[in-house]
Amino acid sequence: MNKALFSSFRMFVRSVVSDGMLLLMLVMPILMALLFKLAVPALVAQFHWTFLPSYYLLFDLFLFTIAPTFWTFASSMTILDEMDAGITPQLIVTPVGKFGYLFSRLGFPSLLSYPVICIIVYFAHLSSLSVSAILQLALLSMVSCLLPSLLVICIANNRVEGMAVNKLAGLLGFGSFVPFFITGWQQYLFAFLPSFWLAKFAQTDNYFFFALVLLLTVLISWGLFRKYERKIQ
Amino acid sequence: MKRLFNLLKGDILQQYKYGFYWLYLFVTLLYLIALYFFPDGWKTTVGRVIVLTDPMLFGYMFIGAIILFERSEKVTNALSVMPIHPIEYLFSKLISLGLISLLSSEVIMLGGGVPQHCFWTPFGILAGSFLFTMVGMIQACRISTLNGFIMWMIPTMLIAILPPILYLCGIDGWWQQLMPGTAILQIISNNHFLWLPSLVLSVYLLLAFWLAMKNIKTLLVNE
Repeated sequence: MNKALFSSFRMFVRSVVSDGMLLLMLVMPILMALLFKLAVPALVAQFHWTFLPSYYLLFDLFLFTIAPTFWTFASSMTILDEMDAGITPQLIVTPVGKFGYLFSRLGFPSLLSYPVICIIVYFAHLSSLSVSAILQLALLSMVSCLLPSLLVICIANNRVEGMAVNKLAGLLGFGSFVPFFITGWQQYLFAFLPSFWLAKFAQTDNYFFFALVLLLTVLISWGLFRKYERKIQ
Repeated sequence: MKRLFNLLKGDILQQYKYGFYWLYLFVTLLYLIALYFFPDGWKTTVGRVIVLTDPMLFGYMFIGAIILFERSEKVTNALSVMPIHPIEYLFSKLISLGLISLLSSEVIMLGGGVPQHCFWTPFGILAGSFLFTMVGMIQACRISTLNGFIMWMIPTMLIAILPPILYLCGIDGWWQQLMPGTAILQIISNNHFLWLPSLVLSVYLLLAFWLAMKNIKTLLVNE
């Protein structure tokens, strides 16, 4: 089983190496981090945008999501290509199986993104985040960034639908903005989004919110996985 | 003309079937809600940034997936043996995708209270949509996977978006005047003819048209 999983993952790595995506997956988070670290304080100094420092935590939350989003996005695009090429049904009848196929395409890249997030945020964060906060928020980001890719894989039947669903799935991260801009009861209209509770956890350090992110992500992922299982039967 | 009309009908139906119209209705509504929360002084700038970064680039974002899908479904094989000219194939894609770009942009600008000119603004949006859709077509004809297209997409989007955003922030260098995004921004923001942005955009459009035609001919022949 493990051998089959790694073989399947190697197949994914070969695919992202051959189309050059691996380079982008490695370079893009670093470039974005550099841009944030250098450009945002420069903008504050240049244009006297004194309101911006109060949103530094929001910039950091965005920084947390860059690597896992990129990596799982590359995975979902590979899965869509494989779906259109008719490779998926052939792979899931091998010892890899349905879950193994998804894990080798989404799980591995997501897990590998964890140290990358931690290192990038540690060096490029703008707000005053402690090391333990970085480790915890990186874990939550890594887990919740699986959802957009899962959504694409479960709903889309081909590349074109995949791009459309991907556009919508990107809105799952919208919840991070809510606690920063809506302070009344209306903010809880977005309580179904794990990214909303992730931002609340970042703001308050309340572990109840930490648990809520994990619970919501697990529940939604489980529902999506069930849908994926039915779809490829 | 009839062939172009039939191709256009097919493309619009396909885009409707894959939910592009519903998707952009939803996205447009979200942008309108977001614009509502911005202070009046910011609405014009933010509205223009939204139009430049999303609805105008809609064709670009989706053309890669559309062409790859058509290739995998052997649509291009069928087209290559039909009496369809590459220019009709190109125009059909440009008009059908440009229509969604224009509708979404106009709703955002009208609903968000962003000032616009009745001719130059829609002209700039359509020209921008055509330009970037053609750029996407050129790239899509040369790749075989979606990730390959994304590799092209990121630098292209940076070139398209960054110069006009810097221009809106007050950073205005001579090089920005030569970038297509800044030319489009100037055209959609003004209510009279501007010769330099129009010239710059025309050069890019002609170059993109020539390259797109060359690539589509190769695509249809090789398939």
